[in-house]
Amino acid sequence: MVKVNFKLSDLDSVSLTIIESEKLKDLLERVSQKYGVELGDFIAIRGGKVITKDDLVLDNDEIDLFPAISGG
Amino acid sequence: MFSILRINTATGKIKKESINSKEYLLGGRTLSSRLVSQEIPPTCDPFGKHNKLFFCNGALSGTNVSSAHRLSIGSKSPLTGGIKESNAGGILGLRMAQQNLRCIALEDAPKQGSPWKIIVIGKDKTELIDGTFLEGKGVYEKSELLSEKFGKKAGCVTIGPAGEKLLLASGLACSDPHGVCSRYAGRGGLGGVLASKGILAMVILNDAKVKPSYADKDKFKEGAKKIVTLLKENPVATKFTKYGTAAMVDICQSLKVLPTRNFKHGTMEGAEKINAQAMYDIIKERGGEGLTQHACMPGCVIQCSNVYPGKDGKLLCSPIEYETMALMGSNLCVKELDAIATMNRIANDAGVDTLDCGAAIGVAMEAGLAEFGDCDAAIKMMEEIRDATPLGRILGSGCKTAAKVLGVRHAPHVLGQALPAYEPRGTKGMAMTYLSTPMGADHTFGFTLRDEDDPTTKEGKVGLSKKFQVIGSRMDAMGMCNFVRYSVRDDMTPLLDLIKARFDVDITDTEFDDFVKESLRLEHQFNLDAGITAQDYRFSETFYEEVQPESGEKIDITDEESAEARKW
Repeated sequence: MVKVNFKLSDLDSVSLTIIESEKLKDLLERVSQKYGVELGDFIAIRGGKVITKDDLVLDNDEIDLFPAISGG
Repeated sequence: MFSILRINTATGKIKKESINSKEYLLGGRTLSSRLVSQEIPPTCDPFGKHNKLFFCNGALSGTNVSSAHRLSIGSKSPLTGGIKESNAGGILGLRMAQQNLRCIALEDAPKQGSPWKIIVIGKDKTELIDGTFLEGKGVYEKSELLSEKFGKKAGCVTIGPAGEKLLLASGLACSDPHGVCSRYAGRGGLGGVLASKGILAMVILNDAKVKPSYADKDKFKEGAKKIVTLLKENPVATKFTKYGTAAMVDICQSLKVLPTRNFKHGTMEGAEKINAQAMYDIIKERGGEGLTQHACMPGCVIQCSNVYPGKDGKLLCSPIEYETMALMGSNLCVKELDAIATMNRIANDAGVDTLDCGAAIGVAMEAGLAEFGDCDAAIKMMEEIRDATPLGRILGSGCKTAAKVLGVRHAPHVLGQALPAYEPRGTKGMAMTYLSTPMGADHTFGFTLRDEDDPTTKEGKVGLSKKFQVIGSRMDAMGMCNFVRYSVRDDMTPLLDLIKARFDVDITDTEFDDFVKESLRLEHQFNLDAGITAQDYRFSETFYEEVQPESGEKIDITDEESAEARKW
C-alpha cells in the first residue's frame, strides 16, 4: 500500500494499492478520480526529499503532498 | 494620458505633468524603476536631496479587477545602497487612481531641523501642512490621528519612530481598507528616505471619484469576471484564502529550509506550534476581531491576509505573514504565536521591516545577548528598536550592521538586506535568486522553491531563477498582486486583454516580458553605477563554509553562476 498524506487540505490521508512501481503522476491521477479532488500544482515529499511527477512510487512509500504556494 | 504629481519637499512647489507612454500605462515597477534609473543619481546619498521617492500604481488600479491596486515605491535604498522597489497592498493605489494619478514623486529635501510636514493631496489642491503633532508617535497612533483629521477612508502612508530616526530597517506603512496603516512597503529602509524629506505622512483624500474610462466596457467587464473565475478555480490560490502564507511553515519544515537558529538550521523541533493550522485554530477559538481570511485591498478575492487576535479577542496584529512567522519565530527558536504576533505588532508600531529586525535579533542571540527561544528577550529587543535605544538602533539597522557590531560572522543577508524565510543551503534555486536580484535578498523576485525537482542541487538553477524572476516580476510590472501569477503563469492573455479593453492598446506577451527584462537590466545597471560590484552579491562566508545539518549542503554557487543569473 502507498500512503498519501494531503497537507493543508480537507482531505487527510489516503492509501492505495499498487501492484508494481507507478509514476507519481499516475498514482495521483487515480487518487483524483477516486476521491473527486482537483490537486493543482503540488510539492511531493518522500523520506524528506522532493519527488517529481515522473518519479516512481514503490509499495510501502509514504508521501506528503503540499499545495505549491509561496510566501509573501 | 497619465499624470505624475511632482512635489518638492523643500520648497513646497507642486507640478503636475501628463505623459502618454506604455511605461506610464503599465505603471507599477515598470514605471518606478525607470524613473529611479532616469532621475536619481546612483551615487547620491539616499538621505540627501538628490534621492527621490516614486509612488506608482498600476495599469488596472481604480477598476474592479481583483487584486489590482498594488503600490510600487521606487527609490535608492539606504539599506542596500542600490535600487529599491518596495511594494505594498492597501488602498493607496486605489486612492491615487481616484485622483487620476499614476505617480507621485517626492523630490529634494528641506534643511535639517525644518519642521515636519504632511502632504495632503485632494481633488482641488495639494499642499504641505504642519505635521509636528505626529512626531515621535507610533504608527498605530499616527494612523488614528490621520483618520481623525482626514477621515478613515483617506489613503495614507506614514512612518514610525524608526523612520524618523533614519534606521535602515524602517519601512513605509500604508492604509488598509479599515483606515489603519498596516500594509507595509517594508524592505529597504524607505521609511528613512521619507523622513529625510521632512515628511511624516502623505495623505490622499477620499474626495475625488474619478471613474476609470474604458475603450470597451463590456469586454472589460467580461475580462474582470474571468480573472475572478481563474483565481477561484485555481487550487493553489484558494489555499491562500484559508491559510494565507502561513501554510509555508509546514512546507519549509518538510523541505528543510525553515530558517532556524539564525539560519544555522533548516528545521525546528516544535514547528507545528507556529504553523498555519495552529494559527487558524487560535484565530477561530478566540473569535472576536480575529479573521482567518481578510483582503488587504477592496475587491480582492484571494483574501490571503488575516487578523490575529489576542487572548481577549481584540486585534493584536494584522496581518501575520509567513516571512514574519519564520524570521521572528523559527529563526529565533520562538514557538509561541502570541510572542510572534507581539513582536510583529511592535515592528508595525515602530515602523520597521519584520524580516530585517527578525534577522538582526537572530544575530544578537547568536552573539549571546539572549538565549534562542527566549520569547520575552526577543520582545524586549523589539521594544528597544521601537524606543531607539543604542542597541535598538543597531538592531534596527539590519542584520549586516548588527553582525559587524556584535561580532557575528553568520549574518544572513545579501547586499545588506536580510534573507527571506527560505534557508538558502537547502534550496539552491532560492539561493540563486537571492544572489541575483537587484534588490538584495528577496524571495518575491524569483520564487523557485515550488518548481525545484531537487532543491539541494545548483544544477539548472540559473535558468530556473531567471525564469521565475520574469514570472514574478510580471505582476509587479503592472501593479497586480503577486499571487495572481498562479492563475496567469502560463498565459498572460487575461491581463493583456484587460489592458486592451481599458486603453485600446495592444501589448503582446513578448512585448510585456521585454518590459520586464528591461526593468531588470536598468535595475542592475543602477546598482553597478552606484558602486555595487559582483563581489557584493554573496552570502556571508559561513554559508559557503558550514554545512546545514539537515540537508548536508553548503552554498556552492560561484560568482560566475550568480553573475549569469543577473544578465538580461
